[in-house]
Amino acid sequence: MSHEFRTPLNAILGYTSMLLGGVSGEMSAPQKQKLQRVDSNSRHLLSIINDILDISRIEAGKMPLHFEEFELRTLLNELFAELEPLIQKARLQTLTELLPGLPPLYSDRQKVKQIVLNLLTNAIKFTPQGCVKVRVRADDERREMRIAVQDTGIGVAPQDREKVFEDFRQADNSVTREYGGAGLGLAICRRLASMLGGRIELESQLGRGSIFTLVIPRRGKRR
Amino acid sequence: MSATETVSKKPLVLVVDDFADNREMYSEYLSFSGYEVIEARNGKEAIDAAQTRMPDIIIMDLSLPVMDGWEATRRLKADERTRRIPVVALTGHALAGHSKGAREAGCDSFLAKPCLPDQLVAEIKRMLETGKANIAKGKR
Repeated sequence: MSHEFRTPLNAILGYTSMLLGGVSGEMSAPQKQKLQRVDSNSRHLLSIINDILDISRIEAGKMPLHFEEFELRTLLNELFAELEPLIQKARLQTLTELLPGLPPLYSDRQKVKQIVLNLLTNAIKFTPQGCVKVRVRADDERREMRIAVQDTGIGVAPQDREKVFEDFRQADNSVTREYGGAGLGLAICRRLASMLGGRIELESQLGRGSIFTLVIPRRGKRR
Repeated sequence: MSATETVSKKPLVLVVDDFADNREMYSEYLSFSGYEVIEARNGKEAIDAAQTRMPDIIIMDLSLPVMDGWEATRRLKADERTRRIPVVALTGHALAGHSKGAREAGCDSFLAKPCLPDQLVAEIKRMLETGKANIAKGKR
């Protein structure tokens, strides 16, 4: 399966990189800026594809983790930059709330990013109006970080709270029709969180909004 | 043969890929980067091109119609005329098994797709340098 995904992406990434590299002549700054978005989003698409392919490896217990120390602030800035067009289009307010003096996180950066990106993308997608907020807290005593993505969106009914984490599932079929998506996002998030020694918590009120919280050890361990 | 000749000339690269978009992309970038390029769309064409043009290096996609890249490499490496041409395997199957299979078939190095054009050029440079160094040391 991987070949079918990677062959077209190879052409997208390759031609984008060639254009950015000036192979067909210099581009104007606005052209370059847009192409850089094509580039960063293609790379992101690639990382999602890799993660989906990784599900099979997680299941098979053959999943490598790459732990490193990193700042969540930088990671969130990157995420909001990538999502900016989506946020603009959705006409949503966004807010990031990081407590000052937040310690760096030692974990798998790419996987943390993937999880938060999934949560943010969902929040934007399922919030017709209002606000999407990311709140980061460190809990020193329990040595955990809590990254909460809060929205004022459609919410998840109590009977659907487990279902939304299943593979290829959304709350119901009408949701898939209205909002699109493969229904894999949260399934991936949950697997990845658990690999990092953490979990995803969900609080929600139907029609009022949801809070999806990634809870992970501040210093992850190789298992 | 051509070992000493090629030092002064533009190196000739044979790009083997059945998907035109990727093949032409690499060709264009390689030309841009100062290489001479010829193309083949499957393993059989690759063998013909290698025998008639004697490229300095071959970039070989592995999943190919008519004759796949593993078989083509095996034949190139079994042929006295073409066995010294380095073969860089390039594939979308980033699985450990594929790279092992590629090495067993005789590929000299292995790159996983997506592979950016400049990454490919870097690998070609590295392989050609290694080849020259081996020739200088009397290895073949």
